[in-house]
Amino acid sequence: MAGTATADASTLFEYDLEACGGDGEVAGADEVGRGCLAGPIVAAAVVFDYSRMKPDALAPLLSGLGDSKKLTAAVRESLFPLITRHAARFSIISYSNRTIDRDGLHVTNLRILGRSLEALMPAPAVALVDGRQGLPECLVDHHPVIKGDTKSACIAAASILAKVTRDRLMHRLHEDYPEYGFDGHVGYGSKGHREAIAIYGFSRLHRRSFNVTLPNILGQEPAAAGSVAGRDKPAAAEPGTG
Amino acid sequence: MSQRNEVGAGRSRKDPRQSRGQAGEALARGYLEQAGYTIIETNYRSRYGEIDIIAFQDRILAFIEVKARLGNRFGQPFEAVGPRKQNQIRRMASMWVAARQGDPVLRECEFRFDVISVNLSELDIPAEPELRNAPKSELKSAPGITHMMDAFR
Repeated sequence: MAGTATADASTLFEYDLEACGGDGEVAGADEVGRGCLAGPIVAAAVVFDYSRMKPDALAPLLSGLGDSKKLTAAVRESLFPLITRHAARFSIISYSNRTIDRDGLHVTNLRILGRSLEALMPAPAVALVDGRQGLPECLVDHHPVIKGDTKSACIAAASILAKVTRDRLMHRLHEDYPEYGFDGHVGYGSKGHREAIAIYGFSRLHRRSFNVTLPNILGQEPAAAGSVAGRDKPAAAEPGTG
Repeated sequence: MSQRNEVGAGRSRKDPRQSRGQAGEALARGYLEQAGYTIIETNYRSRYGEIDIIAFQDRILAFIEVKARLGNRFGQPFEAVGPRKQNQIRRMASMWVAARQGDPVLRECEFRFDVISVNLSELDIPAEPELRNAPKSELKSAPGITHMMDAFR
């Protein structure tokens, strides 16, 4: 899935410029943590105002946004303040595992992306959302962009804000639940995480709706791989195997 | 005697943290209303502490702590609400609910503890002397809202 040619970062900005017709505001939204076994789902939205952004502001962002999936945690951390500084405005929303269990993963995923766009005040004229599907409840006009974080600068920036925020939160939660290793896998279904669940059971951070019973936690690598990839598996809520 | 504690007196002294907090809470309220919440109460106080905002939406009653920060200096909202503060908010929430026992709406409600962090742009608040020497790059932030729902239990 990361098999697309590494995007030259400037093409990410060109994509946004085209979306807003040359100069103006573009919002991008992305989410992280959908495929995790534990912890929240976090979405962010970022507005870049291309009529105001100075070239010297673009330069440091340009070097970082190129391929947001391949960045190290340290580089993402360093990009976080750059993005919040050069954006016109931004929002970050988090829904807990309890909300995911109550409303379902797919609904929560679409809802949180919409909420992140709605939290931008005032609403952006143009909004792009990572994914293949429009957001049914969202009050802000938007366009879905498949693999948006590799195509659009503001979606890539949003994905970094979401990822950094979620990682920081999981590292904090690691202090309360040290036995699961949240400081490493941040909630994804790694082998170590599955083994910890087998030994210690579920914590209150775990998503019970994921139906990760002990046999398939220990036995099924394909399910684990699917969870890690996450993004193109909207049906990850019901592995349905076994 | 008690006049000294009135809001106007506090404002004239211009405690920068207070004005920052007020600006942050106003923005948080605006965000919540726009997001479809009904604000039930703000600045609910007792001798045990304070809850910044109590808001209602879709049978969820949210007790919300608001953190206002200038630029990128003050970390993430969940870092800013430690275990002690969490206990305080939980206790305050129980008191608030206990005082309304029998309210049919409350009986149907789910309770939630949220943290909202508001990034203020430097335009939103008066200059703070303590921050004058901080590097510009640290201070500058676009206006932003971070809403951690169900941040603790």
